Amino acid sequence: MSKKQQILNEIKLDNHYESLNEVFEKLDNYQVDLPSHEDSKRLLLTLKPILAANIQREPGKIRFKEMMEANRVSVHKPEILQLIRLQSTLINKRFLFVTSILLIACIVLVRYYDISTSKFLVTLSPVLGILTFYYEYRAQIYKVEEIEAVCRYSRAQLALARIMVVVGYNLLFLTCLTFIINSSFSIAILKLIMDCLTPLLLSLGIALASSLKFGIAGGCMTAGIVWIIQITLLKGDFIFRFLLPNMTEAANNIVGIAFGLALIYHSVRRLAFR
Amino acid sequence: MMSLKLSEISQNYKSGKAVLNNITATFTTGISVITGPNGVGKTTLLRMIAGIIRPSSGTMLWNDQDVFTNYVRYKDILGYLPQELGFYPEMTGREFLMYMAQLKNIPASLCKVRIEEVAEIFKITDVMNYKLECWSIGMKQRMGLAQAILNDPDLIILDEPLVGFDAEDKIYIWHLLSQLSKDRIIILSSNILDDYIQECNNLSLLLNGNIKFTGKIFEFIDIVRDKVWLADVSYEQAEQIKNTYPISIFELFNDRCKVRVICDTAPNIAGVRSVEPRIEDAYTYFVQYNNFAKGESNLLARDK
Repeated sequence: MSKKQQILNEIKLDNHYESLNEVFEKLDNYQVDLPSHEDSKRLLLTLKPILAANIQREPGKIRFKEMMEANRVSVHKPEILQLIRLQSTLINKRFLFVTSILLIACIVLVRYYDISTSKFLVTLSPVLGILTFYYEYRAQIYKVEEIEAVCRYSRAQLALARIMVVVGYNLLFLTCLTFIINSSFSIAILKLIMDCLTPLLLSLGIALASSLKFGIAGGCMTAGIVWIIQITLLKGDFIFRFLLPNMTEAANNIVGIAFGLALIYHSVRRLAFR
Repeated sequence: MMSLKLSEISQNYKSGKAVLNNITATFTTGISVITGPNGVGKTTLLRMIAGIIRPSSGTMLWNDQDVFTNYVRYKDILGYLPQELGFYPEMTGREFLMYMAQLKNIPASLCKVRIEEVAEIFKITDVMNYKLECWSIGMKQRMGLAQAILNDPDLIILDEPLVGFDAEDKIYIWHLLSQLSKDRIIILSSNILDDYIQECNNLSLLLNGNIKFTGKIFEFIDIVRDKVWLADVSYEQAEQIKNTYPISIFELFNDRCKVRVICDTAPNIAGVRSVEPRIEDAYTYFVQYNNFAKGESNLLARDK
């Protein structure tokens, strides 16, 4: 009995030998070029993590540490750069919010009170340094230091990465500040940003905050009512200019942005705790 | 077979006073429990094994190789749960484990799979998207254990791992640790000798910076064989006995008290009888008996 007949017997299709003979012949004639060494290598690299992940799902068959070894890819990036990327995730939204407010306040102070930029930056930098310095001690403050210390990286590497993140952030902050203050277009850009940003943030804040009490539709409706008041009763004027008529336009914008951001922050925080 | 050998390890305060004094011990596969009263140096010893603090003198060998000559390699096989555990509060459980996975150098392709796996093991999957500041103490402790085994370490060091759990959870966690200990070394500290601790492979008793006992649980208990006495007395009598002898258990039933007295010979108490020793008796024998024998009471000597 030929091999083919044997197979057909096993799958109980021995009566169909004639009809399947054609298929067998096609299969016999089908020629495939052998894959190159590179192709095989590429295929293996693609399959390795997938196979490893699938094997892991069968408990008790293989230990995770063996999978880690099998999947370890040599990274040529220096360790400190990998750590900087990781540590930068620790700069949280609250911190970004506070420093953004500080940035805006600085611009306003310099612009509207005609303070010398260089003197101002020199005075501000240490304050910023002190504000961001606590990031260096973040792990200690939150008692994460010990579990971080037993990970692969040394405490010195972690501290260095944090310092670099903090310094990098400060530099970026001060560069932005210097650029905005000294740019010849700064006043126009700033006014544009302020005029657009203030009502946008304020309405979003009102919508979010009222949605906590009245639901999504209620939140939209409240923000809508405020908008209607603005365009009808105030004739398109910004609501804070009506509430605080003695303040300058810029100051009104700042108050509006701050109020809007405060409402958003409060709402998001409440939503996160739900 | 994996082993961690501590050889004449000492640690001194800056003042020169010894916290740990010439500790020599060998840990092999299984669960090893380090016990002792508060402040005897358990946490210091565990922190030293984890490499967080370096010993003032002595050597630590992992599979016969000095731990500090290739410390990074040692860290790769290490999982650690500190006594005082904290988290970055604004992170969610998933974010924190991802952060730890990256710090532990777990390949990026495996991070997510592994995080889900450990979350499943410690039953925290449902809360993984909540910020850690909202988590309960028990859940945080689970998270602490989850991060400790994230890199599938060969050596797991747990400082008071069962604190914050209710009785049911303790049994579950212990069962889990027993499973893990089949091919890993688990060293944990506890100053409460719960029933399940008796299932550990090795017990070390730390007193005043020294290991006073190390061995199997039955050997520990056997030390006080024929030295444990049970007395059923009035409350007033029990109070007197408490001030005279080291006692391991003091149980009050209405106006009567059952006290287990540790003494080399039958104490001078009416109706006292010898009983089978338990782990608490052996613990009391080491922790209290020596103090009594040193002169806190003369009755031990008088009984003899």
